Amino acid sequence: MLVAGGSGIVPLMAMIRTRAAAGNDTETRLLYSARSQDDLIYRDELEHLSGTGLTIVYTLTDLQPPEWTSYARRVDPEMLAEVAPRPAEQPRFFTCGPTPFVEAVAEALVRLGHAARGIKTERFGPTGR
Amino acid sequence: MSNGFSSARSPKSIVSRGFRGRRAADADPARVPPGQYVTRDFPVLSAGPTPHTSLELWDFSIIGELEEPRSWSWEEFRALPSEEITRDIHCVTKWSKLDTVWRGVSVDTLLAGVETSAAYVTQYADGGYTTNLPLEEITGGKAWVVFAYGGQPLAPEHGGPATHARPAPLLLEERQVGTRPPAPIDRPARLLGNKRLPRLRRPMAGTALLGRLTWQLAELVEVVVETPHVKTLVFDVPGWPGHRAGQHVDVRLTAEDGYQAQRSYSIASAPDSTRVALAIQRLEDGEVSTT
Repeated sequence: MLVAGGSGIVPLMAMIRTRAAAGNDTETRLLYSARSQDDLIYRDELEHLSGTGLTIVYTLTDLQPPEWTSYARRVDPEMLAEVAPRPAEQPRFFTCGPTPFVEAVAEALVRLGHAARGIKTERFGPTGR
Repeated sequence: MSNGFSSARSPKSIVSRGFRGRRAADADPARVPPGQYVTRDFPVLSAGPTPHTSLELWDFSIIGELEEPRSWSWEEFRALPSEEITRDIHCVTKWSKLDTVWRGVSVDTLLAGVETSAAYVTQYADGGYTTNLPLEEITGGKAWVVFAYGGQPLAPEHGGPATHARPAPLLLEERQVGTRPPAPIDRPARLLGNKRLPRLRRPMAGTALLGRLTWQLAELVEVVVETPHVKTLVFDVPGWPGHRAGQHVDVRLTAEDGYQAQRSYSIASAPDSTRVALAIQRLEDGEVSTT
């Protein structure tokens, strides 16, 4: 499962593209958090790729378009519990984004019972000291 | 795990068009090793979740070739004499931070009165990390177990509550010291022994040697506006050896006067011959992203 915060989608997109190029259909879920629909990168491409074992869930934290039916808040443990596979399925996680985002996601996943060694993280940008 | 691109042979003859850079007037170049850039941030580069240690469960012990194992709880550890240390730190991922201020307990204090024939130390830290070092490199005022940074308790993402600090040419990693022992040893420990494990330290030092990673010239061939703040830049890099999804790359820009700045960017594209796509987010005060 891939969890992207803002520009953290970039390396995860490389993975999604590689998977598509290889014709792979391993069950993959992407939870992509952005401020608004205008801040979503690769929107069209993701729509095109979704369906081949790839499920995409968006959350827009600041501004949602009218008739938005998906999440409208920051990623939190409840959201992850709803979107992620159960620990018994032993999913592998890759999460990327600003440092506070990754810290919150990684900690939430561990608290939900996922093994820390199965969670790979990449933190962007400053920590703010 | 990254290949950089910019000119290799003669940096002065290749100039990144439009890049002026922002020279840090206050950083003495003599303090900054070649290839490094000075940052005021404090990047966190762990590959996994940050362990969170309860201070009640925290302990630190020294076992192995010494008469009696030693052990400290958090309170006992904090009751030991500590000192303030100011040092420049340099990370293998190219950033340097000058005049960082730490507070910690000297390893000499922890080993005071210990008689041992051991020549090496293996450190076990939270998360299963180990480091193996010659004992002489961490004694004689050369290493500390630090618990505070910049006057504040050390944050978990930087190794808090305590981690090992040792002046060295390269900052290899920040590791949390204490709790969650790895198998088979039953407690977090420094193991005094005579075994020199070659793999842990050398590979990191090896990749930081100048010349191991060579710069390659990249030509911008396409720009795609993704969002108001993000553009995809597609580069053609002759001789690109390929990459794995998820990897990042170092990019170096050169101004006309030879000034260079370097940043890391995640690769957005799947491996595809000589094409490498990066997505750059424009930061208001970004030295490189605004170019």
